[in-house]
Amino acid sequence: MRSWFKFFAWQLPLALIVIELGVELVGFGLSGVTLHRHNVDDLAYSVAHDRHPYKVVLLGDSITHNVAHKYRIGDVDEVADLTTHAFAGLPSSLFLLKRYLESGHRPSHVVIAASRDVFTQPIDKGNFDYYVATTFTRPYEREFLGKYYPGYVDYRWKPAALSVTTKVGEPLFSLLRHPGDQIWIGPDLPSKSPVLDQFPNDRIDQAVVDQKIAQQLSLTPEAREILMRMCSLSRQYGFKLHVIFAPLPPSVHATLAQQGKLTALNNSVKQVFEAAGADVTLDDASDQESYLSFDRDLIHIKGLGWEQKFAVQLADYIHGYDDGSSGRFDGEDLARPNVSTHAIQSISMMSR
Amino acid sequence: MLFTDPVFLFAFLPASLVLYLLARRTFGGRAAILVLLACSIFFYGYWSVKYLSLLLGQILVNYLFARKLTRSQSRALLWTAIAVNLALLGYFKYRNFFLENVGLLTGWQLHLSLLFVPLGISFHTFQQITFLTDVADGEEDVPPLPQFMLFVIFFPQLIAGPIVLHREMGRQLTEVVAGKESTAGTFGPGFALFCFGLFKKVCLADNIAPFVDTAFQWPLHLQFIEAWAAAIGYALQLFFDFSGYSDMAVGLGLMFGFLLPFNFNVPFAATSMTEYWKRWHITMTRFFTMYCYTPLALAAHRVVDERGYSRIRAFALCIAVPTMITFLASGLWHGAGWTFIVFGLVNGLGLLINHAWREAKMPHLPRVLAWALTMVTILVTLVYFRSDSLAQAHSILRSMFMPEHILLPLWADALAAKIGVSVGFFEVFQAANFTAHFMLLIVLFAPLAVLLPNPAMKPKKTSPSLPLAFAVAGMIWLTLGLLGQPRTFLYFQF
Repeated sequence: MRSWFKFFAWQLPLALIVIELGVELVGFGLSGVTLHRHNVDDLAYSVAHDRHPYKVVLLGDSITHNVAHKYRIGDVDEVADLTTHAFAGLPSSLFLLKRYLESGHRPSHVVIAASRDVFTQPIDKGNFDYYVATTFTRPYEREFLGKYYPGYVDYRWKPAALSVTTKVGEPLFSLLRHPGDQIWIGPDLPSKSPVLDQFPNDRIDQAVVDQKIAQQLSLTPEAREILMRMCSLSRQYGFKLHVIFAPLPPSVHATLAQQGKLTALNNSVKQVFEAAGADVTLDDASDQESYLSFDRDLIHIKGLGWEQKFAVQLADYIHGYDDGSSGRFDGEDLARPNVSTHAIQSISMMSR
Repeated sequence: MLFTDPVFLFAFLPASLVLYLLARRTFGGRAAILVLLACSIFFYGYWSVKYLSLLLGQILVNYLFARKLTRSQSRALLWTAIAVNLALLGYFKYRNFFLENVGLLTGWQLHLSLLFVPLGISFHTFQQITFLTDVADGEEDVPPLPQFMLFVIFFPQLIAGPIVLHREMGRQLTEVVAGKESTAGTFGPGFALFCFGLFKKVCLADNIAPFVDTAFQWPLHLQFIEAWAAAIGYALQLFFDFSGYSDMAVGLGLMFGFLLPFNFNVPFAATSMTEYWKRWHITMTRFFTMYCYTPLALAAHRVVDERGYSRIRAFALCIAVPTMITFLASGLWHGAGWTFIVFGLVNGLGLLINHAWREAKMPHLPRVLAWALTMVTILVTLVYFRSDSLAQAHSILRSMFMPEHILLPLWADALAAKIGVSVGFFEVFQAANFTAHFMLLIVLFAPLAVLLPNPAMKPKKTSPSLPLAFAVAGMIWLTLGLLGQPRTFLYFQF
C-alpha cells in the first residue's frame, strides 16, 4: 500500500516529467531539421530552392501527380510540377504556389489539373496533420488553416512527449534522406500515340459507381476561398490561372452531366472567378478525350498508355495557353545542382 | 462514451472514482454500491437513454425470474426466462437477418426498417442467462436488487465483457456492502493495467487499422502478398483492440476494488485450435462450454453409454455434434450474417480435426508446424469475421491460397529481379511508403502478439517500482499523443 503511494506520489510524476523533458530536449535539437516524410514535404522544400525559371506551374491531385511523376509534361524545363494528392488537398496547392512565388519565381501560367473531388469533398481529417498541418507552418498558412479547419492546432506548441513521432521520429528519419533541391520532373516523354492498356479481368464495383454518381458536387467553403486567394496571387504576380478537371469514366461523366451536376459545379467555379475579377480558363479533360481505364476507385487513371494519353492532353492544353511569354526567376540565382536523375528517381519512387 | 474518449478519461472516470471512494468512506459500502450503480447507469444512458430503459427493464424482469426460481427451481420457468432473454436478443440482433433470408427463399419483398442493436446486448444478456441458470441449479442465491443490477451493469464490463459469472462478482459486492473489501491494494495495479490496455488500443490497434481497412476495401483487387498482409494485419488489429479493451476493463475493475476475469492468454502462441480457444476470449468460451457444449456432450454420452455405439459414432455424437452446434451458436452470437456463421463453422471444423487427430492417436506434429497450421486456420476464420460478405471473404481467400500468379509490386522491381519473381501492377500496395509502413507495423506487432504475456492474468502481482513508473509514463505520453481520433472498439458491435 505504502509503496503504491510512493509510486503515485513521486515515481510516476517523476517519470512523466523526465520523459517529457528528455523528448523536449531531443525535439529541440531536431527542430531545425526540414521534414522529408513524403512528397508534399519534399515539394515544400524544393519550391523554395529550385531556381529554374519555369514558365508554367502545374498544381493538382494524385491523378495528375501519377502522370506528371512518370512523364514530362510540356517541353524541357517548361513545367514546374507541384502536384500533390487529395490528402494534402487544395490547401497544399495554394501554399506551395505561394511559397514558390515568394521565392522569386514569376511563371506565366498556373494550371490546376485535378479531380472534382478536391474542390467538393472535405479534406481527410485522419491525414490532415501528416500532410498539411505539420508541413505548412508559415504565418499565412497557419492563419488559413486556423480559419477553415476547426480543431487545427499548431503542432509546434504541443509538448514534445505528445508528438514524439512528429518532433523526434520523423525528423530523425528525415535526416536519412534528402531528395535534393530540384522540383521533380517526369523522366520519360509520353508517346503521342500510346498503346492503350486493356485489363479484361477488371470488374467494376457497382457500389463505387453508385457512390460517385450520388455524391454532391458543390464547392466547399475552403475551396472557394483558395480559388479566391489564387486569383489574388494571379493579380499580384501577373500569371494566368487555368483549371482542368481530370477525366472521369464515360458512364459516370454522362450521368453526372445528365443530372446537371457538372454544369452546376462549373458555374460555381466561374462565379468565384468572376467575383474575384480574374480571367480564368476552365476545361474538362473528358470533353475532348475519352478515358476507359480507371483504378478500382474510378478516380485514378489505370495503365501506362492511358496515363501517357493524359500527359499529352495536359501538354496540349499548356501549349494552347502559349502567348509567347516565358517564366522568370527574380530571386537569388544559384547554379542548378547536378543531381543524378537516377538517384532522384529512386528517392522519389520511395516517397510515393 | 468509449474508454478512449477524453470525456471518459478526464471527467467520467475521475468523477466516478472520487464519488465512489467518498461514498464508501463516508456512508459505507451500501451507499458506495448505489453510487457505482448510478455511475454505470449514467455511462450507459450517455450513449442512449431509450436503450437504457430497455436494459433496466430486462434486468428487472430477470430479477423477478430469479426470485421465482429460488423458490420453485422449475426447469420450465428457467427455459421461459432464457427464452425471453434470447427473444429480446433475437429481435434486436437477428430479426432483419432472419427476415432477409426468408425473403430470399420465398421471394417475398420485405421492406425492413433499420434496427439499432443496443450496445453490449450480447454480453449482458449472456451474463444474465448464466445467473438465472446458476440460481435454478441452486448454485447462487439472489442478491438484493442493487447488487444484482450492479453485477449486470457495472460499467467496465457492461458493453464488451468480460462475461462475468455471478459467483465471481457476487461475493465481492457482498464484501463491499459489509465494508470488507477495499481498493487500497488494487488501485495501483488496476491503473497500470488500464494504461497498458489503452496503449494497446490507441497505439497498436488503431495504428494498423487504416491499412487493414484499405486492404479489405478492395477485395477483388488484392494480390497474393496483399491478401496475406490484410489477413495478418486484421488478426493483429482485432487482438490488440479486443485484448486492449479487456485489459482496460479488468484494470478499471481493480481501480474500484473488483477483480474481473481476464479474457486473453497469448492466443497467437497456441499450437492447436483447442488451445487457441482456451486462450482467446476466454470468458465467452467458458460460457459456451458451460452452458452449451457440456450439456450437449453429457446428454450425448448418456445416449452412447445406453446404446453402446461404436467409437466413430460415439465421437460423432459426443464431440462432433456438440462442437459444431456450439461454434455455430458462437458464430451467430458474434453477428447476424453468413460470414459469422461460416466463421463459427470453420472454427468448429478446425477443432474437430484437432480432436479427431488426438482420438486417432496420430503422432504429434513438430511444434512450429502445429503453430503454423493453427495460425493459418485462425487467419482463414478471421477473413470471414472481417468480411462484409461471403463473396468478399472468398475473393480474399482465393488470393491467399489460389493466386493466379505471385508478383511483387512494380516499385520492388530490383528485389524481384534478385529473387526471380515477376512484377505487376498492385492497386493496394502501389505506393511504396504505404507498404513499407504496413509491413513495418506487422513485423513490430506480431512478436508482441505472440510473445507478450498478459499482465491481466495476475494483476495483483504487479508491484510498484521506478521501471514500472517509466513504462506507464511512456505509455501515457504515447497514448495521449494519439488520442485525437479514437476509433470505436471492434467488439462493441457484438
